[in-house]
Amino acid sequence: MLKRYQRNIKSINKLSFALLLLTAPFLQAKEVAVRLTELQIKNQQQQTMVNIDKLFLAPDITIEKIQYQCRGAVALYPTHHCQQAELAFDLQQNRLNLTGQVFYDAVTQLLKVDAVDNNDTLVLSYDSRRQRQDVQLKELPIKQWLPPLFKPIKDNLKAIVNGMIGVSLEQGVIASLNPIRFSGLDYEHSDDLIALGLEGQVTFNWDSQQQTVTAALAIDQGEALLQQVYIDFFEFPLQLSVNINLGGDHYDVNWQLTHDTAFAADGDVTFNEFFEIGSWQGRLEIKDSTLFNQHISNSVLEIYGFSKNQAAGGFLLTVTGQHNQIEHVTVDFNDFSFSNQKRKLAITALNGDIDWQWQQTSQPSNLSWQSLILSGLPVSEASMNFNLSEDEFSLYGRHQFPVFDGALVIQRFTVNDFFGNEPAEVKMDAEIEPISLRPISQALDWPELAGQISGQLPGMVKSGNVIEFAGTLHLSVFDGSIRFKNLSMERLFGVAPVIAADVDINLLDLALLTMTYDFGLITGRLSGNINQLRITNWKVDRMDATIYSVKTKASEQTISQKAIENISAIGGIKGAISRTFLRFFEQFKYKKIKLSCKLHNSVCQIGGLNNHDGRFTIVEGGGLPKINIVGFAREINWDVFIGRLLNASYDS
Amino acid sequence: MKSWYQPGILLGFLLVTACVTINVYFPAAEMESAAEKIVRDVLQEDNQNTEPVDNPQGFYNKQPKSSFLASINPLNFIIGRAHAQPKADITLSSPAIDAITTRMKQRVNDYLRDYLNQNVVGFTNDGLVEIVNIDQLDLKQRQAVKKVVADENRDRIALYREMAIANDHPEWEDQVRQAFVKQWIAQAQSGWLYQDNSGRWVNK
Repeated sequence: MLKRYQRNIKSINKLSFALLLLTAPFLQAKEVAVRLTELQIKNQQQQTMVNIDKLFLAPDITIEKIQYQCRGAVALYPTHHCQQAELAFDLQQNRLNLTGQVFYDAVTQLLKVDAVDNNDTLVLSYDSRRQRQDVQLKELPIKQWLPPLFKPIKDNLKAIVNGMIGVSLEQGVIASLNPIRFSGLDYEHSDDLIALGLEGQVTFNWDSQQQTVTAALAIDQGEALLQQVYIDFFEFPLQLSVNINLGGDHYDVNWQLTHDTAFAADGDVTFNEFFEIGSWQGRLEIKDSTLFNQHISNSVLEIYGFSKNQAAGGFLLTVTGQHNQIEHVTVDFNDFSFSNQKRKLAITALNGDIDWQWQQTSQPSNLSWQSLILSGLPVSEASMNFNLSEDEFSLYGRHQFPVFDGALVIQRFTVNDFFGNEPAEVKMDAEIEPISLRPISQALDWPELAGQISGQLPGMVKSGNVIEFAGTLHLSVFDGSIRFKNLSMERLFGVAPVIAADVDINLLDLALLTMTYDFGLITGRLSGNINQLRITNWKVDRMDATIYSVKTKASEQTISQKAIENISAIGGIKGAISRTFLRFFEQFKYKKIKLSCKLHNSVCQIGGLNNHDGRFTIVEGGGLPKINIVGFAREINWDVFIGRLLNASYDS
Repeated sequence: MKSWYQPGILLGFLLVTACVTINVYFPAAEMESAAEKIVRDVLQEDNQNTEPVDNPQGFYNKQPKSSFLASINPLNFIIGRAHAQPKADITLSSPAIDAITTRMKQRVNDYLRDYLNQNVVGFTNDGLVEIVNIDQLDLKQRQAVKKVVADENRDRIALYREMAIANDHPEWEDQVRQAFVKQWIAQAQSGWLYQDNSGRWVNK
């Protein structure tokens, strides 16, 4: 018996039992238009066979090359009961072979199928009285069964799943009945967009009529690298839920990614039919910065040179954009604290909002903190109001940032074009209200300094890693002054930070200076200049310095025995005076003191008065007894020189 | 007959010699020698502590460290001393350069040599390092490589700038970098990856 049909399912009543037998596991078709091609039925002595070439169930589901076979001569009508049924068909380019029992009652329209596939990975339990049919997944490699939606990532994705899914063909819904356990989930997009060995649970619902997919994954094993972000899911388990809507020619994706305590993120994104990104928005709420930093942000910041960071508190970040362009960013800090000891950077109790918009004027931003440490210098509790629009930053009005007993006062500060390749245009009008030098020198671990620093900084230019300041910093120290001109900073928070300046020293009181450092009293006044001073890693690297005494009417020029001993000790001579009769004199008059040092390559080209023939005079005596200190070596190792200078003052 | 043109030649000679053009050239050969020494130092396999040895001379530093470099400039032999540039004393050391190269040396011994041996990382044609192939590493190591490469490149960029500044010519930064490009590649071990001028990665 061989018949061929090619027509609508509703018109083939006589053969409907056979057809239903085939289609029922997939569709309890009443209203749904189902179309088939090339139906063949054979009922012979040894076996019963039904073949269908193609069965169109839904837009995305076509079953091809369907073969139903029952061993032996088994009645087809009015009931069909097959103990050893075999069903094979192609679904999504996979050949599925099932074996099991089939029972069909044409009168009651009851169909029951209990079958398992050849690999023992799919167990099918069908009962036409139920709305939902169950499929058990046993160690099923998921790759070939992913819905067409996953086509773009299908080739690089694999996983094994265990669990139970329910199929409601009438509604066109496939959903997990209980959380499905997945393991060995690998996805490799590129060398640094990759997940390996993910394990966890997933619940999902795929509605083929509504064209929606919702899925919730809890990942508690495995690891992933998302460009610079590395996640170990065993230590930092995450929950991801995704909701995908196929609205005509585009996909709307809504997602949430959360950790129990550390953070919660969510967002929406639209893709076109070619999976190109359209408009999008995201939100990240850091609830526990300590945990988030430990597992996520610290290792990212390490790549940017900030390692061993500490963080606490939280913040909320929102970002919206179109295609690859970020359009709007807001950050809301909530008692956020961050510190990096190596870079001498810290902020505590940071609160406030930042608003940034592209091609729009942003809302005013405000930040306040309890304490801030920049390059080791503490700024006390303060707040700042500013606007950050496109590539422009401007501070609103006058701001006072307290530093120890003084302050940095900024009247005006604007930066234009800070995203550009050209040097950013900075307009600044700032001054330093007098700050005591003693706490500054302590904070920076420098030899203790007395006096005050103040100054005007009317401008600033940033070019690459270099920030150049216009104006002059004024240090009122030792009853005289030191002026820093041409001040610049380089890689302030980076590799080998540099501060460079030209320095004028004007009429310092030598008595105060030498008493402060317990060097041995020298009276008189000291002036000089340090040109092209360059301090690298907080150590003097280069300079062309000259200091000399200046005779004034008000001061006498004397030098104590101790000072002479210490100056001599710098040259490696111990007890220069104490072994001579001059030890009976406490102090001596001098006519002039001069010392110069051209430091380059850790070597100081030293000089003083009357430089000739490799000798120079540091101290030229006056009166009686006359004492001169003369140097002979013109090149001095700088570290040794500084070591001896500091030893001289500290030993004393 | 001779008497009239002799003063003419003399005058012409004076006119020619009176036109003085001062050209300041980048001392390519010297800088390459300096780069050669620094690169050798950084790439040197060394398990010992690299603390600088104390100068036994103590206080006095009589010998400028790099003066010999100028004397081996081949240009001096070709052009002749009269027309050669003044000897360029290339500074190889400053607190910044020393700090940077010490870190680089430590990094080579701790991580970078292994990455170079495994062809994970190669030398680029602009004097930096770049990740070439990390698929043999586990994911945590892949992230670690990114940090090592970023740290190394920050140090290298700072080194080129500090070399130019230490030699009183900040504008030489690019040329210094070029001198180093040649040396990184020249001193790369056999099998290491480097980028040729066209940007292609090749094994040495």
